[in-house]
Amino acid sequence: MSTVGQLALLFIGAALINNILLTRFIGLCPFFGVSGNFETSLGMSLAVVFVMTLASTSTWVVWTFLLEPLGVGEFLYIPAFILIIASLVQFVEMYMRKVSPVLYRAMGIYLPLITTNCAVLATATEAAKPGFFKMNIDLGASLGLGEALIYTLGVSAGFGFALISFAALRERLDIAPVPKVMKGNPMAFITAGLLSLAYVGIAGWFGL
Amino acid sequence: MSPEMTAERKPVVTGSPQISSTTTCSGIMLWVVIALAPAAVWACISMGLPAIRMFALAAGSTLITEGAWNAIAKKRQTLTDGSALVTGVLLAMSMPPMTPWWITVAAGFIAIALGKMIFGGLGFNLFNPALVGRAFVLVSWAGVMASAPGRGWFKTLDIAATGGYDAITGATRLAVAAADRAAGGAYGFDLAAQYQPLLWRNLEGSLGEVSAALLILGGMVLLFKGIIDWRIPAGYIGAMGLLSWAFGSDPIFNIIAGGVLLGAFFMATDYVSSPMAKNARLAYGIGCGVLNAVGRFYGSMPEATTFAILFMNGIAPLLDRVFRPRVFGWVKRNG
Repeated sequence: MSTVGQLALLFIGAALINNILLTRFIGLCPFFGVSGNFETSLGMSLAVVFVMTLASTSTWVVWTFLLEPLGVGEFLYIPAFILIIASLVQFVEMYMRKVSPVLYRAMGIYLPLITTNCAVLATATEAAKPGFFKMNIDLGASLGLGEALIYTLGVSAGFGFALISFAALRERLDIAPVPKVMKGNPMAFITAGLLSLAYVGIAGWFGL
Repeated sequence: MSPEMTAERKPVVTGSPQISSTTTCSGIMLWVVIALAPAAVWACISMGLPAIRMFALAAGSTLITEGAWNAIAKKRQTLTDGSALVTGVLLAMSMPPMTPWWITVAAGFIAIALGKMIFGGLGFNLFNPALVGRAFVLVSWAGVMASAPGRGWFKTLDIAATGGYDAITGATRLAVAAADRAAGGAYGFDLAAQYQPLLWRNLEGSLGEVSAALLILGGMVLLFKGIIDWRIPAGYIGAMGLLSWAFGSDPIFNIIAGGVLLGAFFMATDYVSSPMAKNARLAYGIGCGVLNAVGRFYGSMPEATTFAILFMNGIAPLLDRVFRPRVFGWVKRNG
């Protein structure tokens, strides 16, 4: 079991220093797709935290108790994980719509968008079996369930932080007289590039 | 803002109070240049030709880029607002003095073109243009810009050392301090003995590090003229001092060495890329200081000012949202 300090470093390393959006460039579709509106980006971030946690927990359990003991994980993990994540999230979405309309309006409508999102799959896979995706963060040979959860929370918090701060930046872009050819997505790409430049500076902090 | 832009953007009419002021953009930029002048002139006197060459290249590059951009885009010339000159001077002061000329020119071009003009010009840039230029060349030509001894720096530092070593050589005092920390203090690098050279005449570093005292003087001028808000430099320098003390180092050395003073007084305080709400400014300053300190002690490079401020630029609009002042007379929805 790791110490609290190690877990804190794992969280910071997953959230900021190896930010999944701005240093790994995974999950860029929601990053550009929903960042046009600040409130939408909040809902999406919430949904990503929720889905990633759920997905990592389930893939960790399936990997540890089913795929690895049977020796079929190496070639079955992608179909298995996609199936698990997609069906789980769809089920939760249906459940949420019936049970809590408020929660559904806040984040439920984003769930179908990210059921098989690459960022979710990458994080869930990495949490279950470190090293499959080159996430640039050294997680060792395998993670305990607690560490996998902290790691997932870190990644999803970093996703949300980057998405929300980017949405706030784009609100300023909306009122800026940018050249006509650069309006909209081109300017968003340039801004994301400059934001990513800032994250280059924190690469390698604490040796993470 | 150019006339053709105002034509397509409807003017905003607001209620009173409307405050009439004689403050102009070029007036503020002039004061920033005046505040930077003592440190810049002293750097030119101390280092001579390399410093003058650096200022000419950086300012020339930023001014020509802005002029050319406006000419090509058929917009009103904005060179007279002075912001391109400020960007050029700040860029020059943040670079190693002997950087190859083409890197400086590239940094100036990127600073203005990608850092400012593409966003619609002054007032709309999300990031500090000078820092965008510097970060761009730092990442693109890391090998050339690396803080290795004799690589772009005016001269290297040789300091008598203890513990079985005759002398230690480094690019800057910060690099030597970092090496000494990594070696567990084996070199016996005396931080307190560095106050005098850092304050008055420090040739081992960028142009903006020649004299900390003159930078503080310039910062004070801006503070007393009301041009910059005290919250940003206070938060920045305060957090830097406290954290470096907490990390077991000398707070005064860590404040006057490296880019902290230039960053805290002249770069983080950029109107456009810093938050507007008062509490947000304090949080922004503290964030800059924390990132700078953590980056300096636990980062992969000896100094972290550039990326600390760029990072905080990136979340400045978010801070403005979080610390948005309460509007009276409105009932919160769903509240």
